[in-house]
Amino acid sequence: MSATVHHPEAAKEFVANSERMQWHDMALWFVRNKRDLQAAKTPEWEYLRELAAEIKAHTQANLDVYLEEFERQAAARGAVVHWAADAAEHNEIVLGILQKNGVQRIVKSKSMLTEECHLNPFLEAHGVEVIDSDLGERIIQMRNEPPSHIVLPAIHLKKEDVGNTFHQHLGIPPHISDPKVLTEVARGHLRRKFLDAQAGITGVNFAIAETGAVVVCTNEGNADLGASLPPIHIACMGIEKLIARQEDLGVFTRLLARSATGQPITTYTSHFQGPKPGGQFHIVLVDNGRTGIRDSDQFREALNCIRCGACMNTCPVYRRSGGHSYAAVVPGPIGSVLSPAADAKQHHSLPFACSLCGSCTDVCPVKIPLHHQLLAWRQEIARLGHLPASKRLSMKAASFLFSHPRLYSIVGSLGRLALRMTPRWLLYNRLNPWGIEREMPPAPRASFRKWYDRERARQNPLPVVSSSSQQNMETQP
Amino acid sequence: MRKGRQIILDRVRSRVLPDRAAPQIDWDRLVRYDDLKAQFCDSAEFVGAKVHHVDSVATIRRTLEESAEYDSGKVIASTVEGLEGNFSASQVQSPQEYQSLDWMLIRGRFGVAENGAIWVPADEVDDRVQVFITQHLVIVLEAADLEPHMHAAYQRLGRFEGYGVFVSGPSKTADIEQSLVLGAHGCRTLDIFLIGRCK
Ligand code: SF4
Repeated sequence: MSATVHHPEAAKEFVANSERMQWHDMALWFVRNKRDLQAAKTPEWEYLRELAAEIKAHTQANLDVYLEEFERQAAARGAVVHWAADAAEHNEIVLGILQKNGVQRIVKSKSMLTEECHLNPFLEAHGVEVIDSDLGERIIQMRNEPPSHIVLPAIHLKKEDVGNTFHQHLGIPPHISDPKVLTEVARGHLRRKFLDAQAGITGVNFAIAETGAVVVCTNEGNADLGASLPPIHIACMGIEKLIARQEDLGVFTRLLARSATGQPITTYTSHFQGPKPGGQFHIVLVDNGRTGIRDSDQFREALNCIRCGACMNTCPVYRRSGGHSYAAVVPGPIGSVLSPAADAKQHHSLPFACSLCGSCTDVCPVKIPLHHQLLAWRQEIARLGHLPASKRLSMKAASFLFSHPRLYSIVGSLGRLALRMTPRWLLYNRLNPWGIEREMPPAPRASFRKWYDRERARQNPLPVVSSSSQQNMETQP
Repeated sequence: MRKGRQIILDRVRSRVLPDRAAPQIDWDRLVRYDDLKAQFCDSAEFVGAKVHHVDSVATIRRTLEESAEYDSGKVIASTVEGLEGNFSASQVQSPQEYQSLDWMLIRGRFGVAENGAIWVPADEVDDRVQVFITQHLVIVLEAADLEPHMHAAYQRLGRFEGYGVFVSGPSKTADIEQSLVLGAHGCRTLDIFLIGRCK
């Protein structure tokens, strides 16, 4: 297991380059806007979200039945279905298939599951060449970096970085930064890898119990080439990818790409039912902690996730701290819910990398109450005793204050005074990571409560009879 | 191999959840388009395809020859009746041999107005790799075969055998600084030929 990671520490480097941080912020906001346009153009958007959440809840409630039905249907169409309780078993199964067929070179399309299982280093340690075929993933694979976003894996990089990387690894002349030229270079490089591969591994977006189909959505066409050129196709999926009926795809194919990139649908939506003629088709069903999340009434809906990335694009913390600061396979709001479920100690700081603004919950196409879950995780992490001292002490003080309203209002006025008078060293020290890169606003002279009462008195022509109406007069400037 | 299966099913069965019915879609709540053809063309162009309106297959070649990219000296395969190519699939032994394809001409079964997607089942081609490996893709579609949205598309599909794909526009990527580039790993261009009138 990796060491405990503290999000504010891990975000430091990213935040230090303010120009790049602002570019990242704007680039993701742009994607978020494209999503909004598509959602607005779909009058039944909210209805689709409800349907999606209901379909997922129905599948979760009958998961054993649908898993077995899926296995039966997929097998009837000639696929081989494997089951893996955890990451180690998943990796062994994949390696076993490759070794049995003498495979040494594979191409792989995007799959967060194989990231989660650390499949690449495992296969490489056993002498298998693994080429990530999604352009963004290939770029970061060359750089030996993890993805920083689940849909846009190289969003932390600028085109000059990509040019440098290709200069180093593909031998192109230095200082090329035109995205068109760079994409063309990658196309040529990966074509050769596709033609040369002996097996293709893909992720899975949806699996259909009633037909045994596996559905894979991409824009680049890399999953399709990887699953169609070599004779062996291995599709790796978490068990939460299952849905009951083919007609359910109507709901999800409408939501996924609109939420992810603001396209009405991905370029390719491939339905694999059985192997291609003369080929082999393997499907690996993986638990690796998912049944544990399913057990929890609090966090179960996190399994609805269709990995669209919308919650990241909208998250003010993610946009300004970058995906790598989460030090988790899945970053952003959903990653901050899923990662502590895998290891609460290691990922204890992630549920706090959140302003509880709730924007993630608003955009989530499958209606996961993300910010409620993040709040619940904070309590859970405190209960498990994983809070660092700085948080433990201040939270205790805060909860004491919140439960004593009179004290709260006294402390509030002292606080406003303090904000005006506190020396900088007290705010910007090591115990307070929020002080880094942040300036305190000028303190208002009146409290919100006083301001509110005053404004209400102003706008309300009738005399307001309340216990605080006296104060209105006092604070009138 | 049996081990994981039993562990997973046991774990799932150890926690019984209250049943939630599978929802039935209320079709009255779904979008309706007055003009399916116009909507389809808008969507297809939005995702980067070029749409041509023709009366019959016979006029397709002429239109193609007018396009700058097309050149009858290139490697052209076709599975569209009445539209011959110069590459014969009958001799092909392995899918890798399709790597030389410049143009692939196929028929689509039906299109989807809301997103410009076209359903292409494996039996429309000699090998499914043709759809992805060709440099340029041409899909011929009857204008009468348009559905409004994905719900209608899946209803129309029903049970089908083997492989099938919805294709919406040419392959694309925005992985480098969010700049959209057409022609990632699949086709660089997609020309759609819509034949005749809507239903
Ligand atoms: S949690 Fe929701 S918004 Fe975030 S990636 Fe998953 S489906 Fe998308």
